[in-house]
Amino acid sequence: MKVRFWGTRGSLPTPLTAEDVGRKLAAAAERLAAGCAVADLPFHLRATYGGNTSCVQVDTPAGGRLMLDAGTGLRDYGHWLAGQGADAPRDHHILLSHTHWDHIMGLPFFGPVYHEGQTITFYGCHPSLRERLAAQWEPSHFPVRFDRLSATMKFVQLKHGQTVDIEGAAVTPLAQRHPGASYGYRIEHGGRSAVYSTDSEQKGMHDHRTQAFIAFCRGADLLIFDAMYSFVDACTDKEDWGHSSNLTGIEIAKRAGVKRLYLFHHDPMLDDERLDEVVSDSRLYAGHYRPDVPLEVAMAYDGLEVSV
Amino acid sequence: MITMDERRHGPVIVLQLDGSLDSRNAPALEARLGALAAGGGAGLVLDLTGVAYVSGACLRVLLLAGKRLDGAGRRLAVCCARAEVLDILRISGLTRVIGVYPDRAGALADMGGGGDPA
Repeated sequence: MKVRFWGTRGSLPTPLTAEDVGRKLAAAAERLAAGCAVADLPFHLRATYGGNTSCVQVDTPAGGRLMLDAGTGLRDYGHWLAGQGADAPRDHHILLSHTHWDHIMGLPFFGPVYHEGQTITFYGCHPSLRERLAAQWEPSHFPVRFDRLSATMKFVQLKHGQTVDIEGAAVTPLAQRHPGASYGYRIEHGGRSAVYSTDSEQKGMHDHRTQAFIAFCRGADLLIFDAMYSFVDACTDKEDWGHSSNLTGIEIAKRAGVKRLYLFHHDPMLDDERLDEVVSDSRLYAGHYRPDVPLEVAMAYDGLEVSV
Repeated sequence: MITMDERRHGPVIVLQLDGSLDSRNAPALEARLGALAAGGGAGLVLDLTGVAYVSGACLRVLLLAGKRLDGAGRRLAVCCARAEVLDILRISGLTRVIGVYPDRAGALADMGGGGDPA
């Protein structure tokens, strides 16, 4: 499978400012003048983690495609599709973790919804999925009405723990702890597996829901994990806000025998430099915690492609 | 297995920990800190000289103990942590909410402890 991240930010879009870019350029120029190669610059100076909210593309080798969530990254995906010409798919399959705004706000700006001959099928475990989505198209929020869209919209109700075939992939949803509930997805195809788990609060390794989550992730080749907060913030000021930490993700991934952990749903409060520190710290912790269990730890960023 | 050796220095209790602060030892640590938090005194210093490792389960215990002491107007601090343990405390964010001292004398001086162990 191939996984492409179109949006990795949590809560709300987080664009760079002119000042941010200026600071990066100045710091990069200083290092380059001292003989540093561009490729050796730290990620936060030569690139950006991006500011789009949750949207991930999963392609199977058999030609199936699933989109995970419809955050603002979906808009960029739509633009990319438009550049594919006649090769672009006309059937779109979007799995929703939940319908909090950062996971659906890209939809009104997803080009295919305005074109006849396009079919968009939404999958989710929440009831009244259509009404939940249509609400953001009300005149008080958006100028176009949901029932005036040119594309055909379909809705498929999924159930926690029940595996279904979508685009040739076996997809299993898991209920997660989050205000209003969210659902993670395990996607399997050709002996490979990826777990998408965002907006999920894990309370500790002995918590029964965390234990169920560890079983859900067992042996996965890739785990995309909500690591929005620091461990302490997730346990104190931001407890019950429905998110987890990098440390918890590492402990879960190692206990589950996951091969690669991608930290996801980045806190909009963290700039690129701080996110570089988070991934560096995370790798340090992965070296401390069960060091005999191998785990690759990385930070997801907008535009990243990963082969699974 | 973890051993916990308790000494009183005036109004401050020092608990010297030896072993791994992992999920297996978290319940014992939680019980001991809970009992100490229920007592009096100015605060509690955890001497981590003999601790090679801390996992999330015990970080959570330390955090809750710190909150409980703070709520009672008392303090929790750690001292003598090895570099790798200090890394974990920092990565978790715990160093932002509890006192961290390089040595026991510094912790005691800052927390009003002193004199011979009683």
